[in-house]
Amino acid sequence: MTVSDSTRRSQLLRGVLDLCLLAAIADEPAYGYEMSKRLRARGLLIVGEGSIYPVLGRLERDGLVETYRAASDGGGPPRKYFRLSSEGRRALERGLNEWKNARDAIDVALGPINTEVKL
Amino acid sequence: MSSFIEQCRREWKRLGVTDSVAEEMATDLAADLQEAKAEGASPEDVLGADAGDPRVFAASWAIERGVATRQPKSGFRRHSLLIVVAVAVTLLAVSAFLSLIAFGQFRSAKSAVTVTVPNLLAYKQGQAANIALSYGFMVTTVTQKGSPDGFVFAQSPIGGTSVPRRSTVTIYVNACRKPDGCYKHHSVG
Repeated sequence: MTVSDSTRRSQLLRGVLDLCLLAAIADEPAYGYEMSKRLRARGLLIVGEGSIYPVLGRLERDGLVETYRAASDGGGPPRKYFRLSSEGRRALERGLNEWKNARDAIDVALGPINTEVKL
Repeated sequence: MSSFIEQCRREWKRLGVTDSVAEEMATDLAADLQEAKAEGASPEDVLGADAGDPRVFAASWAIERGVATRQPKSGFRRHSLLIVVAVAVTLLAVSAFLSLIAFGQFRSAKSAVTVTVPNLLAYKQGQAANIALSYGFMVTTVTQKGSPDGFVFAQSPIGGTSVPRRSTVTIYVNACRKPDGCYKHHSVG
């Protein structure tokens, strides 16, 4: 029995959401909602999944991100910005390598399969 | 979404999150939700599936961030209890299912037990029949003219063959003195 499409997507995303968040601030710090928008702009929707806040909390607890408060471009109260710590940058590099290796291996495993569906 | 944030605050308080940290989290969340609303985005765009359950959302955020000093109660415990019950029921169902399968296999295996046919050649008819009967076979004897009398000179199936229990073994005995021979059948067992 295979898992449903939504379950598979959820499981895949859960495994790499921390990596995606680290990647979203690799070049420029961002606050929470800004990160959601960056992920969405890259085609990653989290609607239907859990929010990014617990994952951000874990990254903060583990010292992979540093935080500071600053005014946002849109005004309003100062926002909590997240940026990569040196340990976070190393974690991102390791995670990217793991992802690429896993992705390549899975591509090879799935490659020969004929997915044509005859109706 | 003020109601959502208020429920988060209550959950954080219950989890022992300090007031300053809870205030910070609530402020950040409110600012994000406000910005999303101004852009026409839904709370789900910000909170994902957690938008439907503020207590779970608040607890998971506080726990992952490491700012909760107490364990979540009702919600998490209720979920844990449900999981435990679900696992127990599943295990029971699986056990029952496996037992049924095992019982079925036992029954089918029992009915499919095979027995090796003993070698009955050169035994006297009576001895051969008793041996075959002791193995659980039915015995059919065919007597025909020959010498020496009363000894088994052939059998079917031959000795060493595996056959189902309660099969019939035919023994051929030299026991007929009639000049024209005979192929009289009689069965026991």
